Amino acid sequence: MIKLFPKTPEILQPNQYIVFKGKPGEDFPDFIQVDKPYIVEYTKQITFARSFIFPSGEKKTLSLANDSDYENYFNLFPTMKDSLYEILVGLKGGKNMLVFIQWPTERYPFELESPHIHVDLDSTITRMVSPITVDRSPADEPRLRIHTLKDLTEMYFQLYNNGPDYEKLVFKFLVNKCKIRAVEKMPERYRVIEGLSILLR
Amino acid sequence: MPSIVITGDESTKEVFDTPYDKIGKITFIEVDNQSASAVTVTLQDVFTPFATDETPSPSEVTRNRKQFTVGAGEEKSWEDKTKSIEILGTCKLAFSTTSSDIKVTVGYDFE
Repeated sequence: MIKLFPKTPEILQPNQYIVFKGKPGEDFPDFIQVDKPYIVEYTKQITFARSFIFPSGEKKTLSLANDSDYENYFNLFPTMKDSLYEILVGLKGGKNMLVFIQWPTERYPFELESPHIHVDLDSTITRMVSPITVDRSPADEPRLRIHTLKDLTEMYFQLYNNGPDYEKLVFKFLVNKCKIRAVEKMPERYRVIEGLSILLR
Repeated sequence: MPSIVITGDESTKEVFDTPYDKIGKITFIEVDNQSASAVTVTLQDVFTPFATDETPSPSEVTRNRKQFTVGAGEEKSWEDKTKSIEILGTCKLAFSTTSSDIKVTVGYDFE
């Protein structure tokens, strides 16, 4: 569901297929069938932007889920069972801003296997583990891709200003809203969408 | 790219508001001081930061980004020295002395 690519990935198109991989009943909402093919019936692209001005050395965790408190929630989850949001996330502005992905709450899935290095914002070294930055996913060439579904386990962005002065970070989202439908026959070609258990493995 | 002429007849004048999803850049500044005394012009950036864990109720912040001093009857311009200046919120000019004979032209852009 969350991947960082070396270059901008292709977005899903109508008549392409996807298969959800992971633990049934755990990684995805109950209405999603794991290891079964889904066809993308149609797509619609929505652009969205958020910006934040942060003081030096300060942090805030913001949810990608939906809530009327749209200052602190990005509202990037579908509300329909047959919707899949494929989101490209690009960053602009503050070159010293670090964005950490938490999924689920307070868990950093992008870590090394070593027990000695974990994401920890209190240390200059441990805050260098897997932050997304303007260089790694620039707004004009986004490389971070996230998939969301209705009722999926909540994801978070933790923002931290690693620079000496105030910084403004702009998020540019391209939301590829896909209407999906389960089909019986497994196609020859399909794209895999991996669940949380695979990411945390 | 846009530019605007600001008259230094008040202690502080607004130049532009940076759009929500942009960062302001100063492309050049020209100060024409035909008043009777030298003036120091301060380029300010005024904004309210986002509420963080450490500062849950932030207040408005004014950051001085650059100062320019021009003697009486002089005209000066800056271009290379302004290009690295970033404006996150509202761009303002603060004048050490006020006069309608002080004109400042600010060139700017948004990225």
